[in-house]
Amino acid sequence: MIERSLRFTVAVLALIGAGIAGYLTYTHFNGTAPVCLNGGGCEVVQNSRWSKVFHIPVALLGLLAYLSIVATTLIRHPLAKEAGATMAVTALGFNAYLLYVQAYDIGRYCTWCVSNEIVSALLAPVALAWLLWRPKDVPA
Amino acid sequence: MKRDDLVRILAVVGGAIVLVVALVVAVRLGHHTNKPSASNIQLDSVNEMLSGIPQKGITLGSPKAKLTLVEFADPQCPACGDFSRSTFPSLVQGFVRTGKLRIEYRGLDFVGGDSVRLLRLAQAAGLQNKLWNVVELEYENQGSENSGYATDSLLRGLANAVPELDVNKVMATWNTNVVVPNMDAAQKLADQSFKKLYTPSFLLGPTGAKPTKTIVGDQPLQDFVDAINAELKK
Repeated sequence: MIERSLRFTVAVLALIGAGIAGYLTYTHFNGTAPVCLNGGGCEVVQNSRWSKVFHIPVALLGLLAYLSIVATTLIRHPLAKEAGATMAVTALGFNAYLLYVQAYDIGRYCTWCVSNEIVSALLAPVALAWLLWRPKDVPA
Repeated sequence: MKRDDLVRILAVVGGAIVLVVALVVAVRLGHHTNKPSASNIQLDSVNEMLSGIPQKGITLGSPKAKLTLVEFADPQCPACGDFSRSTFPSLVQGFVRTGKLRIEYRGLDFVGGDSVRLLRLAQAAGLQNKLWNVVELEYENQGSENSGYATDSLLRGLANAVPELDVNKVMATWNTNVVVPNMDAAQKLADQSFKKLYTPSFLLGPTGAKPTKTIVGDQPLQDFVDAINAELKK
C-alpha cells in the first residue's frame, strides 16, 4: 500500500513537472511568450543563453526527463526505481543551478521555472523514499 | 540504514551528480567555441532574433523609438560577448522589437588586430544595413583574444551567414577607407563620454537628445530593464 502510494505520488509529481516543462517547450517552439505572473521574467529567462543545452531547449530536456520518470513508475523492472530516482535527483540538482542562474546571472525569475523547481524539490525525496521503501518483513 | 540501501543511495546520488555537472558544463560552454572557423559558423538564433527589425548603418530599431542605447564594445572583448549572448537578446525582444528602443553600435578596436578586422567587416556590412547581424555573429563565434582567429576565411564565413547580404561587396570594401569614418567617430565619442572606458559601456537617453544615464560593464539584465523602464516613464 505504501509502495503504491509512493509510486503514485512520484508519477503525479512527474506529470505536473511534465505539464510545466511541456508548456514552456510549446511556447519556445511556438515563438510565443509564456503567460507570466511577474511581468516579463519568464520571457527574459526563456530567451536567455542558459535556456538551451547545445541548441536543445532546457524545457524540452525537462519534459523528456519527467516523462521518463513517469515511465519508470509504470514498468516493472528491477532497475526502474533506481533510474527514476536518479533522474529525479538530477532534476533537483539541475533545477537548483537554474535557480542560481535566474538569481545571479539573469536577475529575473520565471514563475513557471520556479514552479518546476518546487516540483523537483518535492519529487526527489519522494522518489528516494520509493527507492528505499520495502515491507518490514521482506529481507533486503 | 542497511548497507544495501546505502549503496543504492550512493549510486543514485553519484549518478545524479555526474549528470548535473555534465548538464551545467554543457549549458555554460555548449554553444560557445574558442576556435571558430568558416566551416562551422555558430548561428544560434542571431538572424531570427534580428529578423524584421529595421537597421540603418550602426543603428538597430525604429528611428521613432523613444530611447536610444549607445553600446561601446570591442568585438574581441569577452565581457562584450557575454552581454551580447545573455542580455542583448532580451533587450531586443522586450524593447527594440516593440519600438521603444533603438541601439547604436559604437565599435572599438583597442584589444588588437583581430578587433580591427572584425570591426571593419561589421562596418562594411553596415553599408548594407546589416551591421548588427555581423556583430552578433562575431560575438556568437568569438575566439580567444588576439589569437589570429579573424582570418579572411572566417570573415567571409560570417558574411555568408547573413541573409540578403551582398558578400562580394562586403569583402571588397571591408579593408578599404570607406569604413574608417564610423570607426573614428566611435572612438571620438568614447573619448568624449568616458574618462576611462571599460567595455562594454552604454549611454542611454531620449533619441536625438543628450544621454541621461551611463551603464558601465556587462551588468545584469535587470539593471538594463530598470534603467530603460525608468527612462520610458519620464
